Amino acid sequence: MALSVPERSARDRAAGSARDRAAPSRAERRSAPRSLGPERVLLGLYLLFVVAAGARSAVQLALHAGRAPLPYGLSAFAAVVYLVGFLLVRRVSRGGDRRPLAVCSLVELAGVVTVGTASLVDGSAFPDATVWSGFGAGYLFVPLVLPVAVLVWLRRAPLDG
Amino acid sequence: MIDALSLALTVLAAGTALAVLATAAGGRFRRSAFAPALSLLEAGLAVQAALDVIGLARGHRPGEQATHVAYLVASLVVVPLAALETRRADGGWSAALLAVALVAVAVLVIRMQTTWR
Repeated sequence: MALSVPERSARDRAAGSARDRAAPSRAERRSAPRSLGPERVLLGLYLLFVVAAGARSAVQLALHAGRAPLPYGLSAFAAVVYLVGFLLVRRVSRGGDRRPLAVCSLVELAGVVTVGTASLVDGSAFPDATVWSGFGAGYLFVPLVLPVAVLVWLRRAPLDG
Repeated sequence: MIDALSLALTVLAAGTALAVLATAAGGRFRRSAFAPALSLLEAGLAVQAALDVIGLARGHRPGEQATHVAYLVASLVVVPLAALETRRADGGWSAALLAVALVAVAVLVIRMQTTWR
């Protein structure tokens, strides 16, 4: 049986108010408290190091590339690794595959340990510092801790993707 | 750059980072409680940036000019980004993210004193 217009309106209003109760409005969503996870801290750190290593190597390579090509090139490589790490952490936090991020973190850790050791053993090869010199001592050792923190996060984060 | 202003900004950023971590450790971190300190810090960083631009316009040439300008821009951007990311989020990870940003600002201000010379 067809509904009259007032009956239909009343039913639409009831359905609408039920929808309103079920789904918060945009204003409610904006003011609702949020919860951040460890991935936001990892993303923040990766972003910082993309800028730090990227700006450092860009300035060094642009102004005096011949002075210390090895450390400047390594800083550029570190910037690329941090950029890839940032993108992969974001992908995993959205449910993407974890393996590429694990590989990236292992490459990053190997880079910090290799460059850190080389900078201490053969200082003459590093007339200017890189992000990874001295195991990242110039950056409060965050470059050494960051890939380990990512690997721990990958082991502990719930599997949802 | 004015050394006293740089020192005040470093102390404010580091002190706020410690306060954020201390309140988070005690389970009492409220992001809104730190809004005044973040606003004060950003205002101070803006004054420092303005003074640097005036200094550059008057002919001062920093030892590492390009690096200094990069640090200057970064110092202005980090606090608003962190504040935006942690808005309405009172959890421990929100506190950690804010503390990382504040420590980064403190380090940037210290580094800028070196690159300015």
